[in-house]
Amino acid sequence: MDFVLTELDSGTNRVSLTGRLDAAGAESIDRRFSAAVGSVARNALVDLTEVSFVASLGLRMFISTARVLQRRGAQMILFGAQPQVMDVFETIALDQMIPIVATEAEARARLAR
Amino acid sequence: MMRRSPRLTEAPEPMLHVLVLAEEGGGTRRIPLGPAPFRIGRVAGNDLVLPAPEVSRSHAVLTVMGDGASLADLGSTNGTWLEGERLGGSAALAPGARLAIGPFALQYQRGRQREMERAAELEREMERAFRYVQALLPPPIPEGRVRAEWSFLPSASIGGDAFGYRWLDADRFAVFVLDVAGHGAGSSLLAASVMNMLRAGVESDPAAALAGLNAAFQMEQQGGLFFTIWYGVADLAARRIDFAAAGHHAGYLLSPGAAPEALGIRNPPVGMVPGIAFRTGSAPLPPGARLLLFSDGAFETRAPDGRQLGLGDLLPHLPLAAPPAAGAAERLLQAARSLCRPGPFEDDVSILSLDFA
Repeated sequence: MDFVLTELDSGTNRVSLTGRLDAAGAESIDRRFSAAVGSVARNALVDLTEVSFVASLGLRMFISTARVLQRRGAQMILFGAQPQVMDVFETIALDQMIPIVATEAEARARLAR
Repeated sequence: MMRRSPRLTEAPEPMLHVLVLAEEGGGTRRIPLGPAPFRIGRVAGNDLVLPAPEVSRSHAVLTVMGDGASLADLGSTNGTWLEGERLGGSAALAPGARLAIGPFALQYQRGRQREMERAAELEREMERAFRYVQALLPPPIPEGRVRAEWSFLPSASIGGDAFGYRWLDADRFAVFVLDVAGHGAGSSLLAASVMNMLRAGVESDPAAALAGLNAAFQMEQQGGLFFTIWYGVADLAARRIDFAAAGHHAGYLLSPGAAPEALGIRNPPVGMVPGIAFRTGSAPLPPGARLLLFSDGAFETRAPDGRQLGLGDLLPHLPLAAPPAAGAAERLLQAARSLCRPGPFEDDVSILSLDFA
């Protein structure tokens, strides 16, 4: 499990994750992810295209970091989730806490709203 | 505050290597590894004997060399699995590496003495927390208007499942299954707190029950932990079951001669959003109906070819557990096991089966 953070503009990062966000995967990146994404008041567009699985610890990582960003006046948006990952998001009604869209373009459009 | 450590003048502590074996019932056994090769197999003469038919006579060998260690498969029939991948030949082991041999889960740890003592203490805490949860689980109910049975396979490393059921009054029977999103002793302790709260309550409205939990267990006050739960109340006089799920997949109602019916409804997990109203569902409860509830550990597994499995892979097997067949929880557990690759489940697996007269 790994991620790459790219600065898209002065207020927005893209964070691309790769791998399985199961218990072991979440544990291996949780601190680095929260530190890199949550320590700055910048929006985070999280690219899940290359993520094959998200377990509850992975959901927890997104939710807690999204909350930190919210307190800093920034926003997290998830995009590119694979169908199986989308099923998990659907079950826990994640969209009531974090916006979920299909593509990076939609994520950017969402920020502009 | 930084202080010069007096340890700087001491010789460095030697590196310790330990193999941790998860035992039935949630305990662990720590086996120190010495400089001699450590052989694992099914029969006597190995340094660690793992008695199961899936284990080969001479299965694998672990070798400590200096500060590192490596693992080699000895041509076993069913393989040695390292971090979910079948080991071809040998590989170096990273600290914390997880191994599976047959139905056994093992973890390799290394570190200085102090770190290893801390690791052992954490495992003992985990075990105590787990025993606490286990003591709160209800006994099966073999006879009566509601019969209940369950299978519970705790995971050595993740944990957080819990369930319960009881009569609220002469006609109403409440049941729940929950899964804390976390791992370690903290998750088990939160699960135990929730169980205690539900045991004390008499709430027959699922929405009110979940709202009460949501008010009591916000994740900000629970070290960032939240949980998913399915909560139902069967009314045997009104022949109806009311239910609510918070972040939890559906329960399944199997009535004689009918296809399984999903009892699901979408709400966020408990602890995530303060003050929300939980949506509920309701379904008729025909005589002879059976309710199957299970945690996601039963289906969030991987197939032998590595493919990620999901709920949709387990659902076609539900008819195996249809009434009136006995042993539904165990049947469903076997079905879940048959779908995934060898080795222990990665997460807790809880399966409940309730029969309504």
